[in-house]
Amino acid sequence: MKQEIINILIADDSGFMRLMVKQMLQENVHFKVIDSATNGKEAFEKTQSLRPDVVVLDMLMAEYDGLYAVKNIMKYCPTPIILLTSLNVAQSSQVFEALQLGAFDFVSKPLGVFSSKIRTVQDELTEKIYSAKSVDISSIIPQSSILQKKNHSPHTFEQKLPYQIILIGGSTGATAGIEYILHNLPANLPVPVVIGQHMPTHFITSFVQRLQKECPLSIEMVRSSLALKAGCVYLLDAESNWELEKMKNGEVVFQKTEKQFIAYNLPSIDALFISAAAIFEEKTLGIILSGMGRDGTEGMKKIEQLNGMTIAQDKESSVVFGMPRAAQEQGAVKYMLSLREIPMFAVSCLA
Amino acid sequence: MSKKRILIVDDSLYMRTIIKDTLTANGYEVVGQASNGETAIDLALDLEPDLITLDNILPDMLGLDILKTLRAESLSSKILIISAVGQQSVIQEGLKLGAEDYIVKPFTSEQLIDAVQRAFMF
Repeated sequence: MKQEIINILIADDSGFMRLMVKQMLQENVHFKVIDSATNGKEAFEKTQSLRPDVVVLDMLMAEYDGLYAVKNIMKYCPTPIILLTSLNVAQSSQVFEALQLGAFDFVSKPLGVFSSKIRTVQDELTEKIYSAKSVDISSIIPQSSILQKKNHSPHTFEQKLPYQIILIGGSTGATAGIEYILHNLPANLPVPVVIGQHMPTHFITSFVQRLQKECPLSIEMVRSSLALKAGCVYLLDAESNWELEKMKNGEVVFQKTEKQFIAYNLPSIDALFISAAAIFEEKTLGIILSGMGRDGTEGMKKIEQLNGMTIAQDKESSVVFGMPRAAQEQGAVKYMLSLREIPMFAVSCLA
Repeated sequence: MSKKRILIVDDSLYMRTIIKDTLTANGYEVVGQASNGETAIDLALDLEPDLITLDNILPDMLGLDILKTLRAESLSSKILIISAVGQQSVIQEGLKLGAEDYIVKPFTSEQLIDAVQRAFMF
C-alpha cells in the first residue's frame, strides 16, 4: 500500500529541540518536516501559508505561546495539532485549555535535564501523528463553541434508582467531553461517577483542579480504600489499574490491581468497568467516549451481559471514533449518542 | 407563521432547562414552566399554549389528573405526555384521555422534537 507523505510543521522555541524532533520524525519515511517556527505567532502564520497536515507544537514559548497558536490555527485554518508539553502542573492546566480550543492531542516531554530524552516518546508521537492526519478536523472544531452551556439545575430523582453508578471511559479527544458532561449533570446527582481517562497522572491532577473550579459536584482523584459516595466524581490516576471492590460493611471502595489487560493499562477502563459491573450488575451505567484503540469494550460487554445501560459517543461528535466503534462492534452499545445528548440522557435514565 | 407556544410541566428544573433549550433552538416559544400540578393548571388555562409537555409524576398530582382537568375545561392545547420507562399503562391512559402523543424517558432532543412535531400533526 502506498502511503501518503504527511507534511509536518514543528514549533518550538529551543533550536536544539526543533532539531531533535525533526531528526526523530524524519526517520519515518512517511513524515516530512516542511518547516519550523520559533513562537506561536510564527506557528500560526506558517500553518496558514504552508497548510501542513499536522502541527507539532511546544506549549511553552516566549511572547506568543502554544495557546495563542492553537486559538488562531483552529479559528482561521483548522489543522490537527499535537502539543508537546513538559511535566509540570502549571503547564498541564494550559493543555486543557488548548484541548478545549481544539488541539488534537498531546505528548508529554520526558522529565530530565537532557532534552535528548525526547526520543523516548518517539513511538507515541509517531502514532499520534498518524491518527491526527486521519482525523476529521470538523469533528474537533465545534467542541469548544457548542459545548459551553451549563446546567447544574436540580433534578427530581426516583426513590429507587434504576442505576447506582455512572462510569465514563475516555482517551484521545475525550477531555473536553468529560468537562462538558460534568458541567451538565445536576448538582444533586444521587449516584457516584467514576472516570477512567487515558492520561499521565500529573495531567489528571490538574484536570481535577480545573474541574473543581467550575463543577458543583465534589471531584477527587482515587486512592486505595477510598469509598464511593453519591454525588461525587472520581478520576483514576495512571499509577495503577484500578478496580472497585465491595466490602463486608457494604461500602464500595477503590483498590489497585496487578491485573494486566490487553487493550490498555494504567489506567485500564476495562478493569474499572468489569469490576464495577460485577458489583452493581444491571444498575451499572457505562459511557464510552472518544478515543483510540479498544479499551472499555470488554467492560461494556460485561455491563451489557448483566443488563446494565451502555452508551457511546457517536462518530460525528467523537474526535477519534475507535473506542466507541470497538464497543459497538461487540454489540455492547445500547445507545450511540451525540456528546451533547449524553448528560441529559444519562440523567433521565435515573428518572 | 408565528411560533408555536409551549408550556413545560416537569418537577425537575434540570429537565425543564433542557426541554426549554431544545424547543427554543428548534423554533418553538416556551411561554411558561410549571413544577407542580396546581401551577400547571393555572398557567395552562391562563396562557392557552399550543402544546403542553406533561411529566406524569409531580409532587402534588399526576400528569394524567392534570390532563383530565384540562380536557374537562375544554382546553384545546395539544398534550405530550412524558413518561418513565415501563409505564405502558400511563401512556395508554393518557392517550385515552386525549393526549396527542407521548415520549418515554430517557429520550434524545431529536426524539423530543419528533414527538412535538407529531403532536402538531393531529
